[in-house]
Amino acid sequence: MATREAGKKMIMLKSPDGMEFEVEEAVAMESQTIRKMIEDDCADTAILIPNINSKILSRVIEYCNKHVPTTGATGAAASDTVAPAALAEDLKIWDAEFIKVNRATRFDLIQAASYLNIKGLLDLTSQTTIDTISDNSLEEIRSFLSTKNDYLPEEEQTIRRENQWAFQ
Amino acid sequence: MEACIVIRSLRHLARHPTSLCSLIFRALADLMGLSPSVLSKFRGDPPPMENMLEPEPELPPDMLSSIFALLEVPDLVRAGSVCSSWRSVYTALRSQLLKHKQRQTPCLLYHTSESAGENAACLYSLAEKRAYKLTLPDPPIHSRYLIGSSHGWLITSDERSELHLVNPITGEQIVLPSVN
Repeated sequence: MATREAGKKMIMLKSPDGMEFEVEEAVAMESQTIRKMIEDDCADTAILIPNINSKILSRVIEYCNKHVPTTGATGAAASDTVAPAALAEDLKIWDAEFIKVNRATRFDLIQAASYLNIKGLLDLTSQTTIDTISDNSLEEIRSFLSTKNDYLPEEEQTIRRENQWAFQ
Repeated sequence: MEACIVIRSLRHLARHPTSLCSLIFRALADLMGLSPSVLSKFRGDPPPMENMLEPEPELPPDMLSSIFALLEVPDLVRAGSVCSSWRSVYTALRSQLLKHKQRQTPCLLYHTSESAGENAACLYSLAEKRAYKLTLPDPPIHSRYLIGSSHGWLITSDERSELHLVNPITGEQIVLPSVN
């Protein structure tokens, strides 16, 4: 039974490729999916996370570790002295560094964040993808996201004509 | 004669050390019974083709859809034209967006000067702070009254009081039954 004082309780997260990650329960509960499992008492001390490999899972845990509210975590003393605004600024810089990954990793992170229901991580990864779409031409979007143009030239012409206004 | 050829090929090898290298490896392979793939590792050859042709990472449609839902209208229309899979996500999303609360910043629609053409209207994107020129189907939008709008559709009435529903983003138009 998960309780309030569960701050220091440890949870084992297992990836399908056999790696095990021991994390604080509070960190694991940054994921609403895992939180639900724990609260509903569906979770043992070890939880198998299907379809997220160890490489991605370790990055997700890294993110949760950074974003877990500091109360009860290791850096508790620091949060008293640092202003919340500075803390938020620090997190923003950290996030910007964190998301400097290749496209494949980012797409894996989006799917992991969606499956584990970690809103902050999903927003961060989605926004990065949106930034590559916004204000760019079709050719630029295709090259940024390596999306193949599978239209025949005449099909593309038709689509462009239908939405001509958006390409001014 | 034979000696001459040997000397010439030796000269060639001296000038091209890499071919000398591959010659040695080929000889070694024969001697040691190694497979060519093992050798290519030693020689530092580029990886075989199958590694280079890895499929490009792609997002599943539902993920793509939730990302598209965050785009502003002009970006959304452009994203919908990138490729066929994006197009189907865009088409499906468009009907969903109407049911849910739209997150997109509304656009303003207004008449342009006559010189731009009778079928032209302006769409101003508040998010991008720029105007787009739309070309709407007949009858000319300049001669119609705008009665109202709902769910992205405009209701217009022309000179003969015929009613039309027109979607300025997609250019679709529905002619309503005649009132006369």
